[in-house]
Amino acid sequence: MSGTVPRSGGERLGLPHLGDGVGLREPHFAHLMHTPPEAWDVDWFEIISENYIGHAGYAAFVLEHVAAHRPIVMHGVSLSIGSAAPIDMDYVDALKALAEKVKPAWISDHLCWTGIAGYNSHDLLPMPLTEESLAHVVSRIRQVQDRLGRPLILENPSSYLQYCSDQMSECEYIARMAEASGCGLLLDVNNVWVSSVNHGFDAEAYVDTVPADRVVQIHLAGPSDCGTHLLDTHDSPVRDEVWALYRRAQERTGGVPTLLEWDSNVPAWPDLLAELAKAKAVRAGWLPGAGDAVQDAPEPAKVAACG
Amino acid sequence: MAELAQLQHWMQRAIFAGGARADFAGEVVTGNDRLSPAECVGIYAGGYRMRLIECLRDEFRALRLFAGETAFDLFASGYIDSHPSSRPSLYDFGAGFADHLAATAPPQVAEHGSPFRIPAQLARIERARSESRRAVGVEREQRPSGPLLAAGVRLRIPDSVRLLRLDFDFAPLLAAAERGEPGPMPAAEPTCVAVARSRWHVRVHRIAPRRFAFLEALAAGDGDAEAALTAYGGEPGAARVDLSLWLPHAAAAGIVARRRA
Repeated sequence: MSGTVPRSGGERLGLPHLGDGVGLREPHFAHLMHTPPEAWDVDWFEIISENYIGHAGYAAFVLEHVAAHRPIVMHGVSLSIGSAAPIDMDYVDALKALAEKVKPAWISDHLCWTGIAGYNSHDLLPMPLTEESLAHVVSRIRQVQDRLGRPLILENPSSYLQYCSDQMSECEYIARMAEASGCGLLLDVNNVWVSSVNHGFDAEAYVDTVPADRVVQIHLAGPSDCGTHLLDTHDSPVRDEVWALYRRAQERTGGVPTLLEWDSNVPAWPDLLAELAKAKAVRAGWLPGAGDAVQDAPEPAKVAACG
Repeated sequence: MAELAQLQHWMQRAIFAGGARADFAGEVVTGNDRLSPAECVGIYAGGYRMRLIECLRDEFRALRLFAGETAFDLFASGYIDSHPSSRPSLYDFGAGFADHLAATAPPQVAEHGSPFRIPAQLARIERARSESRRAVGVEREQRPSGPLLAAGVRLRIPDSVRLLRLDFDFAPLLAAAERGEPGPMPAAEPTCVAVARSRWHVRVHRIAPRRFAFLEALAAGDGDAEAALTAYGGEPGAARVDLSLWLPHAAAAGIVARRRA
């Protein structure tokens, strides 16, 4: 796939355009270890950082092999950048130590908090979108960036609730966060879609508002429809509505690296590549489901007042 | 920060309590025409519990098969309630599961060979396998050649080895679990096993008592000769013959390795 991705977006925060990638997941280890790298047909890989911190077994061996042939990005889930608890600097140091081994193109995590008082919910809990939390997050991003010695890239999470105390929209929060902290953004267009359905906001307006020059990567994934809400499960193909957002985001940014996430019901390698190949087709103008009269997504929620 | 901390403490309590403690949810969280504020919090509470249960189900597959879904999920729920995760990686979450099962077993668990000991001991084997899978093994070392019980050769237990003394022979049950079957009730029988990794594959090896005592002595830091004498009751001849025959196999299985210079 190398060389097929438009590079008009140029380098953002000094970070390279990596092309189209997938998450490095255990079901594909055997394929990657027994297939020549030139036949992988993927430009880069993203790892879940926590899965490799302190790991000296086969997964680490596979990562070493893959990293020798393709760029790697470290994507974490436990930084808890928005927690009111002190930053876990042991964890940040462990990230840094892993980065020294893996030499990732960048390190990313999520705009969220995962726990407080020493606990970890292992979930990406939404931030209250307030002036107070924004100042707190910006301060912590700076601390983490100083410790890592590199810009941090933060992803917009899917969310299933909003707080009564919210003072701004998520995209305004993210734009101000990036401006004040110097961090980069990982725009997950599936998360935008999931949250827009759950909270009843305009997903296209969100994509149009995010500061395009700060976006260094786009995530794609498939959610689950729970009837009353969408859930970010990474266990199915990308939704048609998300492909439309993806094209919009790529046009707006001028072209940034794409990563397809698939964590449950992980398909065989050829099927994963077939889904990833749609990204290139969408950038070239094709849109899955275009012209279909029926969309099966739930109607956007109407938000009720706090009481 | 005060409001942020207060909100996060409230929400974490509600999540850990399964959403049951989402008091005043309507004062903190907005609902919509499909979900009430408490139901929105409940999505996170349900996700939290299910994620940790899935993590334990994945790690302790043999115990899950043996105990059945209902009993296993009861074990898991008790553990989740009493040991909320505190580490960045979900891998660490299962570290205390076996101890929890031992501590919460009925009083008869104190008797050697009591079937109430099975869940905790089976969990201990499965946790040992997980730890072995991630630890530094012997794959990147040159395989030992020549006699291993000789002057100038010093042995060690690799980081990827776990030594366990058990009340049961779990081999038939573990073999059944590999096939996705519950397996038979394990026979009550003092059993020594080494969980070890070789060529990236983790296996559970049953070890004869004197050889196991030798491994334990090595793990405790004893020198080879001292470990052998301790294990073989001061019979250096018996130790030399038995270990000379066995150690090459143990090295191939990743149970012992040459000490690093």
